Amino acid sequence: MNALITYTFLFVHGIAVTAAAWIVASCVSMLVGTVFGMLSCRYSAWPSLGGAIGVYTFVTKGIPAYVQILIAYFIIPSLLGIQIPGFVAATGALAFCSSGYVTEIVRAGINAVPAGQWDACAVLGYSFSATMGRIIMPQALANMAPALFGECEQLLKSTSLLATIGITELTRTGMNIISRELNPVPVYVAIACIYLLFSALLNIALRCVEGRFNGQR
Amino acid sequence: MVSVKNLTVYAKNQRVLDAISCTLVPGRITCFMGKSGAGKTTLLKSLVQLIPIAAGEITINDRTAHALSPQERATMIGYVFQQFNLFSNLTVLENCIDPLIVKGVARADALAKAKEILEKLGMREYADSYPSALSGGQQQRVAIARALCLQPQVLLLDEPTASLDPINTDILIALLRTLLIDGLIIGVSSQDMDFVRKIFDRVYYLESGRITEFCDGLGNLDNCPALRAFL
Amino acid sequence: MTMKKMIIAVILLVGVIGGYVMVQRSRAPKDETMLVVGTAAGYAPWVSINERGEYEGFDIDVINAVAQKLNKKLVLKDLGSMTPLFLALQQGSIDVFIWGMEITQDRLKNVAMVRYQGDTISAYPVLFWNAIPETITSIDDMKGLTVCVEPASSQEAVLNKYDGITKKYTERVDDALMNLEYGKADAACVEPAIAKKFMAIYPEIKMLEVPLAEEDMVYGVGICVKKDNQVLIEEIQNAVKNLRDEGVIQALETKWNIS
Repeated sequence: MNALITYTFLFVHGIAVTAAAWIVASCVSMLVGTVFGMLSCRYSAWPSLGGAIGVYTFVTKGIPAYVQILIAYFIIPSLLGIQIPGFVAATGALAFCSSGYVTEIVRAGINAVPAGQWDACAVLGYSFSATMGRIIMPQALANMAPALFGECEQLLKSTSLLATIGITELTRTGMNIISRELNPVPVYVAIACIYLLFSALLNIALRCVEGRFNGQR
Repeated sequence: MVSVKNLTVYAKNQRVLDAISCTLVPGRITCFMGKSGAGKTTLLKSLVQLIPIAAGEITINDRTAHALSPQERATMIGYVFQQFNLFSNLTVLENCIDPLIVKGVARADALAKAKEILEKLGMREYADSYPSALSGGQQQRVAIARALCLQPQVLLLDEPTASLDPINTDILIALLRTLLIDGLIIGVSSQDMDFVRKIFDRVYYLESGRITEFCDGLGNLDNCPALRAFL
Repeated sequence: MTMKKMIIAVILLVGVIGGYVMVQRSRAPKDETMLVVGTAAGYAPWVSINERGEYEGFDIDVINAVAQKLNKKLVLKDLGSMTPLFLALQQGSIDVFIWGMEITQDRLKNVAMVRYQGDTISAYPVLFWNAIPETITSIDDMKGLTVCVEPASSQEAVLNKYDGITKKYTERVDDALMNLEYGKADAACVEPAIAKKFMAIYPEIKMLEVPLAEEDMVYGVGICVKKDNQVLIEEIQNAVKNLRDEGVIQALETKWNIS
């Protein structure tokens, strides 16, 4: 236990890095995924985009996250002749990888909304954005919420992949301490608890969101 | 007045409506009757641009339908779906004010108008309920209220009695008669013999995408053998 | 709606400006007064991060001394693991890397290595918990046993030569330690420095030695440099020689408890 307290500074730093990577990757992934999901749904105003978005989800889901991180950190910078900081490259890769899944979740959620809702909006003179924003998305969110939170949880666990290119997120911090003190058990237990804490916060948030929707069912 | 001339509509390469011509007039309920698949619903849907038109002309009060933008058309024709299609994520009151707010009406004015119409249809006390909590008849009245909030000159109802019990059917008929007094043009598609008998006004009979008979008033049924048989 | 649009516009602006700045900075010509060194924390006592968040270790002190000798500013880049270190060296985003890397014939085919510590190793330690079974006096007696080893390490290459030994891959030394302690494996084959460290802390560990063939021998640990970078290789060789003559390296070995 003493060892854990000595390294508090490192733990705090590790938690901060993990949290930052998680939040940034989640936000970008959700944003991109939602936009692409809306553009590729059954009643989209731009149906020709469906093919391109299909390719996008195929690529992002098909390449393992670790490989994407290596590509983002090594191959892309050398192709473009620039240097990309590790945190940016890895977080970007995670966001890219996750956005494919989010696109599919959002698209499925939107397509599950009854077609009649689209018809009602059409006869009432709603534009595509009014239809989406006021009627379709609120209904779709109720369908999508559990899956989206699940994807968020996956992202949290994937942040440990940042360790492979040297970013000192939580798991890597633990590995470093263990190499110095040779005390794997207390360190891994502490780290597991911290991840669980993040997860618990996410689950509470999900519970709140679902509660709001239940009033309308 | 709504005037339809030589309307032809295709669906999946099949001709569903074949050069249909008919009119809807103010102060009278115009019914479209026929067996399933005759084209009644297709006709109504093509009037509100839900289904594309292959040929023909639709004019609403001297304005050509396809020259209208969707927003303009929405303020001229209201439509009540057979399944109502109320917005499940909004309350009854919100369902009614939403189209007005999208149109650009100030919230206070929208609320006043919606409450007035809900009052007229007897649904004011359900303003804060969600559609899922209402019965079929109640949902239909909300659907009609929502359509009326945009103050259209025409109101179309697709198979309105399909999911109603006899009591609610009578409520609906009384309601439609009230709306006629305000000068509304009402069009209805139906297979319900009892309903049509009760509101018999102007009836078109459709068969396989064509209008085969037209009867103006109960007194003239002699000219309409198919209708007479149906009824 | 306008509030949302403003927020989106601000985020986009920040993103574009940030990207532009990043690209400009990275396009700046390489600074000749810098020595960019790759490494990876989590490998005490060679390289690790202390409680204050600073990099420390035998390798850190050595490369600091070398940089001083070369009159260059040291820039450390933590790349996390073996693969990124080699990749970065090939790409040229680092000049050298230092990570307790054992010098072997195999590795010398791909990179140049400058020895800075360690004698030639002609045997590897195999560690047992509590007691070496009586029947085992050398590696040939170990058929059917499970031995922990780091994947892609020189130890693994040696174990591969002996049939009948079941290899259990453990990425890090603490994994191997746990396997031994909780009986998940019969033995662990690690580097001599690690073996020494373990045995100092845990008296339960007993050691057996596995002699090496010539091509498996390890000639100490070295700083990895790109093969065609002759100038840098010579500079570093001279620096290390000077440091050794001055006794700096030996002092560091004592400080960090490395044999």
